[in-house]
Amino acid sequence: MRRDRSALTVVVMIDVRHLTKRYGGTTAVDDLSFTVQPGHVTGFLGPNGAGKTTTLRVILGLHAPTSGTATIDGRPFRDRPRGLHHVGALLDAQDVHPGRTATAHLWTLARSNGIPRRRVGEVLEEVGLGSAARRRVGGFSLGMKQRLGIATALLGDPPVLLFDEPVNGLDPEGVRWVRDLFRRLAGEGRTVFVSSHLMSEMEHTADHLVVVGRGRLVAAEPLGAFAARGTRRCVVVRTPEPELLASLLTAAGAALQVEDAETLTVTGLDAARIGELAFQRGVGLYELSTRTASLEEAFMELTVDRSEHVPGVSR
Amino acid sequence: MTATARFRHLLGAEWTKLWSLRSTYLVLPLLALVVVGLNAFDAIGHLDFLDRIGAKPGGDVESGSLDSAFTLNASLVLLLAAGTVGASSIVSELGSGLVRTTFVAVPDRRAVMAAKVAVVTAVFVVLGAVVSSLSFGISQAILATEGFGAPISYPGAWRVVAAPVVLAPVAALVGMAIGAVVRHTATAMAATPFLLGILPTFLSDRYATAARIKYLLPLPAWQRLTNTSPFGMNLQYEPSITASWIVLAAWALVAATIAVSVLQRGDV
Repeated sequence: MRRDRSALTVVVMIDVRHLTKRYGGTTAVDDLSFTVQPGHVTGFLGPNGAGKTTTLRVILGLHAPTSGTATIDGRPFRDRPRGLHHVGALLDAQDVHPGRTATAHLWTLARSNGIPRRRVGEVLEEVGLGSAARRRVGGFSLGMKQRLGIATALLGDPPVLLFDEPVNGLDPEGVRWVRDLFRRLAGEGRTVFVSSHLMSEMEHTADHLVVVGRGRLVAAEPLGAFAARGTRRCVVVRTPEPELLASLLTAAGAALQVEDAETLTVTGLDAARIGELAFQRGVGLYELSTRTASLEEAFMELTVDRSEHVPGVSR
Repeated sequence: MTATARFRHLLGAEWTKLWSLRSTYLVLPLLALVVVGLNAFDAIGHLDFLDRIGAKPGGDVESGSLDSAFTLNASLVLLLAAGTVGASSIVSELGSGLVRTTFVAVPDRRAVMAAKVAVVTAVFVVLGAVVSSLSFGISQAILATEGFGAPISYPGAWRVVAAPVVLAPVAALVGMAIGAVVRHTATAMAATPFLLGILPTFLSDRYATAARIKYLLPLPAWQRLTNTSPFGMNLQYEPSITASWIVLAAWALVAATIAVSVLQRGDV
């Protein structure tokens, strides 16, 4: 048993290769490949219906892949006799029996993996459900159920943690708590893989991103690289002589878009170069401003229309 | 903390799972009470009947007394309750989505289901043994007040006590198998009582072919086993005692196999 994390030499913890999953005629995941490394929070990002949940279910052995493989620490998860010491997961906070108390729910899971009873109290305290331990789960709010799901994931003190949309239903304080928790878990050297359909969520949590759209990979790279690539910088110029300026800029290799009678949107040249060219030919400028898209826009741009070719992504 | 995979951990988990639901810890004691009560009241009624006809102890009268040791009504109640508890032990997990949480904790699905089958079977063996011995003891004690009680040494009396001990887990296993196959609460809760309790009434004893099929079902097999009349059941077709035990064992075996293996493949 390889329980000592410091002895781990394998750096790839989650390895998805050419994964395809079809349900009848519907393709949920289409030839998806990516890896997730330890020591980081990796965001799994995509709009609703992009195949995130399906991918997580296949990784966890709940659904069988149509083709391709998904392994955790080099083995398909289904081959593990017991799971909690290897992987902790929150897939759907509603995946509980409403008639059991929080303690009973966690105790059945702990017991099945030979985890001592005191651990149940520990994780309940850790997620802030200590006072609700003896209440039936059916009476929990969605936020409380999310916390219970996170407690379940933490039970076995696992090196790999998967969370599917964990912030759903959490209040702002809960959202901050969960972000700090993920960062702490990653800081301890664990592999933390968190799905979300909200870029703004990942912006504050993830170091690394795996972005999917319509079941296909859009990007897999550090957050910074994704932001830089996605944000197509453009410069907005207002001038009384748009025709003259347009010919100057085109000659210098810029791409143009005419917005109105005196406004151009320029890509391919930065503001300084545009100002320089205008100054040399004496073209007056009313406005010269750089526009950068937010991460959210970058994400939308990349995922909304997947038929558009995305530079830098090998298909 | 050990990562060793032990089957007894799964047994413990399923035990906790079963007893942490209100439907178990309220229903099972109530069930025991109803079953024993039905048999005790039958004994009181039977004693009254024997008084009215002026019966005297001796002869075959104890065979009639044994009918009160475990009545058809009691066995129907036991059968239906065990079947629905068995079915709900599976569909409550599948229907609530808890099964996904369970299979992430224990990816070895077969082991999970085997533990569940073992725990539910054991609980109903014990429950069957308790209600059966209490029913026999109380009913025969009531009848013995006027000398009509049958001792356990009476021919066939042990079968009257032993048959419910087998019938209860068989019903629970059939419920589990149906639950695992249909995976839908309402369907399982309708199909289980239908197969166990209603289907036998559709098959008549008066036609040999229908009777041959009928006595392959658990409840009729139990009826055959608890018949202690020296004249047998006096039917067109009468299965042997051994055949009836085999019928119950076969149901248990097939149902357990289905319950353990049907979730092995497929998406949950």
